[in-house]
Amino acid sequence: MDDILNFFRIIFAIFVFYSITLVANAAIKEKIDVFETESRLLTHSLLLSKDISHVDDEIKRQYIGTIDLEKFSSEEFKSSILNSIYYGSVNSEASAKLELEDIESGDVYTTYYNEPLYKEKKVLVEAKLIGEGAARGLSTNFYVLIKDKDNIKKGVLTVDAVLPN
Amino acid sequence: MKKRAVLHFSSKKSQVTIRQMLIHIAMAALLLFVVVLMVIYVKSIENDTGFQNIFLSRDIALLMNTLYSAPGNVDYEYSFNKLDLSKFNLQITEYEDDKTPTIRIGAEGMPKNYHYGRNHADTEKYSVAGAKSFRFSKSEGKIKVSRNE
Repeated sequence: MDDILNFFRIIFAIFVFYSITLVANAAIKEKIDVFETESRLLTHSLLLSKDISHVDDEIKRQYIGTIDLEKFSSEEFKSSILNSIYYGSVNSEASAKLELEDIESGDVYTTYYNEPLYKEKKVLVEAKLIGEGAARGLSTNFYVLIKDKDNIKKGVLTVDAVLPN
Repeated sequence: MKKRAVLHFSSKKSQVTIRQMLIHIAMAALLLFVVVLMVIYVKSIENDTGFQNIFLSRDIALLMNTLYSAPGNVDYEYSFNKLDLSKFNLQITEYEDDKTPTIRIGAEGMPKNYHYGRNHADTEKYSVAGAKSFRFSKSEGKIKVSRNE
């Protein structure tokens, strides 16, 4: 009888030790969430990019916060911005939708950074799914100037960054 | 009649066989062994650099994103007061298959990777080991990584 009890005591001691290691492992934080920082960096990288900003032809000075409407609306913007913020030949790390609203006329111009990934992951953001395979979004507004040929107009640039988890 | 070895104490109720006493000693030794194992395990967590690898890979990846987005030239020294960076081997590289730019950093054990967004024209790879701090220099849209002497 004593032998049986001792055997169970040993099993119990092993179980306690294993439980402590499980609890210790669960308490150790190995996942660091950098989503907010990464998405804000992407948003500001887009805003500060030469592919979107007005650049003076003579002195080559970039005017940050002044959006060149011709660049913004062109099809070349989508490929040039992907080369400026390059995440690999198949970019599965970051995407964004950029909406430029002319405050005076009410016109809205839309373009994308990594459009296929944005359209794929935006659905997951709206569904508010969490965990691996899902995505999160962060929308930011900036008051900007819009350079439309020789005209300078007031506008709002909305950057909706979507990053997969 | 079979005689059992018995240790005599002052009270009859406290009389135990030698076999029972040996079992108690063995149980105490097992308990001590378990406690020592737990202390060793906790100490190993304290010395584990896995979390530091994860932290540094993300921190340096975000630093690279920041440097690429900054207008003009930038010179930046990356150091840590509470962390000995000379234990870590930093690699600026990319995945073989899809060329995703990657920060790979590791001390003892498995290195950790994290992606970052670079300028497509900047394809240089770097490996820095044994440095107390790293130097990041951005010029004409390209970043150079070296030991900070």
